[in-house]
Amino acid sequence: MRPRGEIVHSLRSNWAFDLTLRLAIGALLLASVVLAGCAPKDESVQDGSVFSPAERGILTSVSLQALLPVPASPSNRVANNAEAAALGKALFFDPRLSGAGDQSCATCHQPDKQFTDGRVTGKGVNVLGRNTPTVIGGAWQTWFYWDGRRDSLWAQAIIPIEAPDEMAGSRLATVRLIASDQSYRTQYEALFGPLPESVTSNTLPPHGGPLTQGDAQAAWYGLSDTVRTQVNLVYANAGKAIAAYERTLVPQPSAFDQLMDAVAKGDDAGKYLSEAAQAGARLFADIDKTGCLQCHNGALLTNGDFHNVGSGSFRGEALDFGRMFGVQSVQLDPFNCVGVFSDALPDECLALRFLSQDDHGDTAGAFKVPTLRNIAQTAPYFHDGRFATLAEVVAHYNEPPTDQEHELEPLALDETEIEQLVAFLESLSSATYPAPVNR
Amino acid sequence: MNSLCATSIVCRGALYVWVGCLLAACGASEDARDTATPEPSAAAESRWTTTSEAGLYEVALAPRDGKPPIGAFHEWIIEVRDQTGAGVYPARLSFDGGMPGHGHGLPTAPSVSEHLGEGRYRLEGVRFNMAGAWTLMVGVDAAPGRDRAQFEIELGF
Repeated sequence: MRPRGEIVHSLRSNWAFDLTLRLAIGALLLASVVLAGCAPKDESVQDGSVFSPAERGILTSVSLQALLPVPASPSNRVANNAEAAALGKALFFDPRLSGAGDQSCATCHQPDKQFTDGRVTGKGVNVLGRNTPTVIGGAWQTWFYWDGRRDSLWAQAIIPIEAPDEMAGSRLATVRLIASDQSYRTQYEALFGPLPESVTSNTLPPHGGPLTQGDAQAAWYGLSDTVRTQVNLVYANAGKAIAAYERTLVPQPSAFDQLMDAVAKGDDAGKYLSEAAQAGARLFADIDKTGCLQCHNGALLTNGDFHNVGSGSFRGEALDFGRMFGVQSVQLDPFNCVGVFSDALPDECLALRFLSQDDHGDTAGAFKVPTLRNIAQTAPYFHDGRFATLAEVVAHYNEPPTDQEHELEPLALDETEIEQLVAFLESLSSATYPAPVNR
Repeated sequence: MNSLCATSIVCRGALYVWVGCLLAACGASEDARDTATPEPSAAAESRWTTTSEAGLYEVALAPRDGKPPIGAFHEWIIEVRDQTGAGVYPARLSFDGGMPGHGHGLPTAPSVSEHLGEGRYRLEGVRFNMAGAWTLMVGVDAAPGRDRAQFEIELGF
């Protein structure tokens, strides 16, 4: 099934919104939520309607009605370019980017699994340490990876290609492919200008990059600084094209969104959600009872930040401190927003400018809050895929672990309420994106 | 002007933002006397005022564009007045905070970037990521001395 709407068209029409306008819209939406909470009951909603005005206001704020236009990406000047998205889509699905020619970005980010892989933890060349997050809605995110060690979609996209445990390709092989594949070269040069002679002259080693190992890594460091910078620039541009494609992967409407659309029109809303899911939505909106909204807010159902829910692993093989190292890594990344490959002015890099260095010691064991959109289609859960079902996840929040510090307080949900919350989460599923036909 | 400020060239114009140090030096008080309360306002804006812990300053906090949003970067104005009601300048200001109920700090590290005149300072880089009870702390180091003002604010969606 095709997703609703013309995505590229919507991007083109949206990207012209400047920051002020987007913030204004956000403020209006938030204000509307508050007003809804205070206002007398809407005349259009009959007695016995599925939600109270206060619930309706809160639930509208997490529906697609509240989705802000695709945010700008100052570090990527082709972020909203349809031709860049077309090149990026081809790269995303191209297994030639991997060392063995058998894996692409889509190996782990599978369209029919809402751009996840269904595995406990990802698997490239080797099994990885963390669960594969979705790419859908990435345009609205500030940080990438569970620990936020990258600050843009494009800076993230160029890591797995070269990581030895993932695709085990390399930046040298990638830029050589772009130069040698006539279609890629034509698309690339139309977007970014002529490839440098060092890349087109067929004199580069076949394989190499700083993340590679052995001879390939030695080959990389055998190149001059100038050539390495030229290669990095082409590699970064490839990442920017991939990011332009990923930014078209906007969230699609779920049964919950259809319900909220119906509620907004005063239609019979009950047919879109089961009684249990409606009760679950009311529980979700009850911030005092469940607290879900504290982290899972906004139309993406995530605040995009890092929180400690008692899932850090501070000993043993699965050692994972989460954000604690991500906050350091993102500052050292040469491809970050303030780096030489970024198209942003330094002042535009708000997330890095005001990056919390953590005076509070609370980044150890904190992980990025995942979106709840399509959550039933993206099992298993948590950074290490420890929970197979949503019921287990809700049970974790109901009775959080007692053997480590975290932000959670026990809830007092009974079995029925847990089932209702799960039913609500299941209502957040949408149609999947079609995979490309030719690859 | 105290000795610390007198020896610093930064006091000539620019502002320091201390990351943690000032607050630690001031000593967090378990029984902060002053609980900030929103001032009634004709406009739909939010503004909080309080007296600093040692009584040296009246400090006001207000988002620059009305109600603080959840999930978006925005700016605040910090206004510092001495006991005579005069705007305080120069001053070193620090800004910190968090959600005691959740055991976490601010999601960003806001920075005081500019004196706007009459003891009013521009605070950039504020971004809240959830509704609820936030504690915000403004450290002030200026001629009258070091002090700290604590604000308890409640943000809604």
